[in-house]
Parts: sequence; structure tokens; C-alpha cells
Amino acid sequence: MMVLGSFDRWSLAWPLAKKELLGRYRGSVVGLAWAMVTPLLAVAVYALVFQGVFKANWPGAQAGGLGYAARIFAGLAVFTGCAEIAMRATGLMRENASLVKRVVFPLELLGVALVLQSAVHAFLQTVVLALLLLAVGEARWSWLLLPFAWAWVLALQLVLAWLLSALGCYLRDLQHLVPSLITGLMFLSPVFYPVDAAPQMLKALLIFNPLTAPIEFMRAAWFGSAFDWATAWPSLALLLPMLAFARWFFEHARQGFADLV
Amino acid sequence: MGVLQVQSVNELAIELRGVVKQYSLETRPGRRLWRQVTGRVGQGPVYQALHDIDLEVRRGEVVGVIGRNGAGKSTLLQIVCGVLQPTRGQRTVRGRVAALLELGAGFNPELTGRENVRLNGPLLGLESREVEDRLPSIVEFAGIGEFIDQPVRTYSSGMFVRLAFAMATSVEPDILVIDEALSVGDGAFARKSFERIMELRQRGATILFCSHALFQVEALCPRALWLHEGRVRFDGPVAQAVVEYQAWLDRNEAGVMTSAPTGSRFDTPQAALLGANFGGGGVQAKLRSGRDDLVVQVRLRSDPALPCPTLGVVVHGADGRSIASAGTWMDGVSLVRDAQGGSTVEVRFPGLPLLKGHYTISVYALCERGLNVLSAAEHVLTLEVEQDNLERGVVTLPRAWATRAGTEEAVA
Repeated sequence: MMVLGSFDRWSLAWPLAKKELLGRYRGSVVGLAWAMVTPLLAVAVYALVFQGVFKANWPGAQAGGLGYAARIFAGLAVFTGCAEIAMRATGLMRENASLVKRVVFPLELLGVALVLQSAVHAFLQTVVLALLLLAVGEARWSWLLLPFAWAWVLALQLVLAWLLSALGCYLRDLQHLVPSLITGLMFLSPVFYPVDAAPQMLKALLIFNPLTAPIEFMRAAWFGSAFDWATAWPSLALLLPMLAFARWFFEHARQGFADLV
Repeated sequence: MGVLQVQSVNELAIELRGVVKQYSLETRPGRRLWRQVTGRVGQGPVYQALHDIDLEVRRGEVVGVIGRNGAGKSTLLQIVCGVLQPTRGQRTVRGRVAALLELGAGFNPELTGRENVRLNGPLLGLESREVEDRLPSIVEFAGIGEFIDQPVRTYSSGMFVRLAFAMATSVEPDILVIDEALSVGDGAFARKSFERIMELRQRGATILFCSHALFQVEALCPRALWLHEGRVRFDGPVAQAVVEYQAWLDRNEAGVMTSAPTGSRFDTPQAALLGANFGGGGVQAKLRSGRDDLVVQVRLRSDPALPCPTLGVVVHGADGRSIASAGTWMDGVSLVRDAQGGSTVEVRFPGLPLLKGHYTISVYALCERGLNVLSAAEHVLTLEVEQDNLERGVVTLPRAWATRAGTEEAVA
């Protein structure tokens, strides 16, 4: 069932995202709070292992306390957001088979809705971290850059969502491939260490990771650390062309979705 | 379309020109993706579901689509709705389309009925205010009461379909596309949904209706489209379409039934057939052609709160095809029933005109319009007809002979 007609297409994305979020947390006791609890727990574990066991410390941060954990949290929020998009996008069309096959639906909105859900999680995580840092008196003016940092990340997520949801529809292997790629990519992203601290060989690799620049930028916004525009600018400059390509690719591939899901 | 093109093009609600739909049979996913993205689906192995379909449906017209399974009916409806894109050709649809293809397609099982209606409203082209306005009437029509605030996964399949139907038709569409959706829910709801569709028809909605029940198509649609292997085999008055299609079915599928035909047998809360026999006798009879009367007696019970149902009797040949039928609604006969809804009906065919052979008889209880089957007992009676002359064929026709000398043609 559906209707063709003049409706503002993008305004549909939010109800869709809301529906997904409501459905996801419906019936659980703390509901949306899981979006904050899960990353906090993860950070507690990482902090315990890296700081407590390996005695690792973040260059430039004072030893002990919240410093290390907060920096991991900032980077990890970006990484897990993108990872989740990547994993869910590969099966997105099959998951919504009825929308693909039986309804006239602007399918590109499924990707947009996915990113909107991620934005809600991002917002909650930002609030959590901001409150933690405020509590220990580490607020800074550079926080004003946070919306830009997130805009960068979300745009990147939209590229991922469109490309992978279209590709995943044709190439089912992606559903198995992407999770293992993500595990590897986590250590090839500057999540547990800043780019500066990486050995030369790893640095060369990090440049090609599109997540490197936004993660670094995010940490620069939170903690006022240095941000190397010289290596990061191609990443930002390519963002719009990549979005345009992802959109084009999705539009051309979508005609075949209905036969495949 | 000849010289006289009277109506302006905008009178057309649905317009298909040379529509072709091919499904790719390419099995290598990489190749398939490449063809899709570069727009070369036609190369490589394809299955052609629709060949060059031209279709024009005027505003307010009701068109039935008939044809065998796999003839391309669903593909055609999906293209009209815009769910599928034609591989080639042009599709123009003017007005708001409501498709009853798969009811409740966008529902999320974890959310309550009310939340689902709110969230799916925009998909159907409703503003959120419009959804709020219509919510009470949707809930009322679906008849699901306080279940509206329960998660949809707790619904029975009937409730689910009812809510989806109530919602889909609440948008007051200009064009309604129905794929076998008339039999939604139980008897009482099937009736309500049918009335909703009739109401939309009265209001001038254009309707495209696909069903295997030929009698429904015949009763609803003045015009019918017969699709065969992806091509339009006939497009015109429904009576002719059904006759041609039925004749084709009889020619091509009668031979398939080698063993005795087994028919369906079901009742609904609205009506139940209790028994049928040959006028007090058993369910098997041996009659003499032209001499004995064929008497069929049926006992049924119906819900006294609802309008009295009608009764239909169909005589089939040994190959299962229908040879003759009679219906109380066609003959203007009303059933009489007691306070519990019980009634007995007898129909008599005097001097049975069937010739020798084996026949079966089906009995149906239908709604008062003779459209929805409420209870069916197909092939419940078996009949053997004997004949004491050498006449050949299936029936004996009344006749008058005349003869004169000479060979010149008679002058009128």
C-alpha cells in the first residue's frame, strides 16, 4: 500500500528513523539509555585494559584520571557509529524487502534514516562526554567545533550507507566480509592512539583511511589537540564528490533491487 | 485509437505506452550490478514478464485484470503503482494511487497499531494532522478496539490485515489498485471492505482490480483485460473477456484434470452449508435424460443479524468445467429462514436436458449481491445421466424442424 504524490520526501526520513529507534528499544527497561550505557561500558573496559594492564598513556594528556578514557570515547564514538552503519547497510534492502517490493518508497531515505539514528546516538554520546568533562572541569571553547566535526562524520556515514546498501543488495558476500573488515579497520584508525604517535609505516596507511581525519578533528574539537590540515584536507575535499557519486550509484542500482531482495 | 479521439488526454488516469518489463536472469552478481548501473539490463539472459503493453484507463473507469498465474498480472499492477519501473516504455498515472498489493507492508511489529498508523501516514501521503483526524475512523473501521495500543506483533493476522486495509483506503485515493484483496479477514470484514471499495467507486475513483474469481470481476468491472504470457490477449467488455478466457481455460486446462475433481469446502461465520442432496435422497443419483427432474436440496445456516445470503448451484461436466448454473439472486428468489438462521432451499430442473455422462454439482452460499462466496461445497453431489436415444453431445436443445422440396433459397 502506498501513495504517489507530492510529499516532502526528506521529511519522511525522521519518522522512519524514529520508528526504528522506538522499535529497537521498545520493551527494554532503560530504553534509549542503552545508547549511552553501551559505549560507556566499552570505554570502561578499554580504559581498564590499556591503562590498567598495559599502562598506556595518551601523549599530551595527564596521566590517570579521565584523560585516556575520554579520548578513546571521542574517537570510538565516531568509529562505532560508522561501523554500525556499514554493517546494517549491507542488509538494509533485504531487511526492508516489503518497502522495496510492495510500496513506492523513496529508498534512498532508508540510508538517510540510518544516519539519523546514528545522529541521535551521537548526540547522546556527546552529551555524556560533555557532562563528564564538565564535571572534571575540562570544558573548552573548541567544543564549538563539535557540530562541524559531527557533520563531517554524518556525511561520511551517508556515503557509506548509500554505497553499501546498494552493493550489499547485489553482492551478498559483503554481509560476511564487512564485519571482519571492520575489526581490522578499528586498529587502522586512530582510535586508541593519535596519528602523531603512530609509527611511520602506519601513518602512511592511516592517510588512506577516510575515518582518520574526522576522528582526529573530533578529538581536536574536544581536547584542543593539534589538527594537521596538511594531510587531512583531501579527505574533506573528497567528501562532496563522494556523496554525489554514492547518490548516483544508488539511483542506478536501485532499479534492480526489487528483483533481488 | 482511430480518427476520433474524443476525450482529452488528461481524462486518462492510467496510461501505459509500449511497456516492457524484463527480469534479469543473470546469476553472476558482479555482472548483474554492472549491467544495472550502466543501464544495459537487456543484454544477457532475461525473462520477459510484459511485452509491449498499451493500456489506457479513463478517470472513474473500473477495469478487471484476468489471466492465469504467471501471466504478468502482478507485474502490471506493480508497474501501474510505480513499485516496479518498466524496462522500456512509458507510464503515466494521474492522481493519488492507493495500492492494496501487500497490506501492512510498512508496519513494524514492535510498535503499537496507533504508532504504526501515525508513522505510516506520511508514506500514504497524509499530513500528520490528517492522520490524527482519521485515526478514530480507522480504528473504528478496523474494529480492533483497545488493541490499537498493543504492539502489532500481538495481533491476529485478521486484525493486522484489517488495520492495514482501513488505513490504506482511508486516504481517499483517486486510483485504487487491488490485487486479490477483497477476501481480507473474516466474512463480516470482507463485506465491510467490499462496501468501502464500492463507496470509493461511487465517488469516482478509478479502479484496477485483479482477481481469479471471474464472477467478482464480472460483477464489478464493465471492462476487463485478459493478460496471457505478458501480452494483452483481450481488452474490452467484461462479458466477452470472461467468455473468451473461460473458453480458453476449458480448451487448455480441462485435460489436466484426469482424476475426479476435488473441490474446496469451507464455511464462514456468516453462513455455513449444512448439507446437500438430491431431493431427500443421497449424494449420488442416476437420472434419465429428458424424463426425470433434477432436484437439489440444500440446508444452510446463516447469521440472522446479517442480510440473508443467496444460494448458487453449478453443474459441472466430468472434466470439471461449468455447464450450467442457477442463483437465487439472479432469479429474484429470497431465502426464507427461521430465527436461528436455518433454511432449506430446493431447486428443480424439470425434464433434465443433460445427455448421458457423469456430472458433479457444486453448491455455494453467497452474499446478498452474489459476489462474495460465504460458504462453498464444490462437487458434493455426483450425478449419472442415462439416455435412451442416440443423441450426442452434452445437452439436448429444444428444436423445431421444417422441410420442403427444392433447393432454391427461401425469399424473406
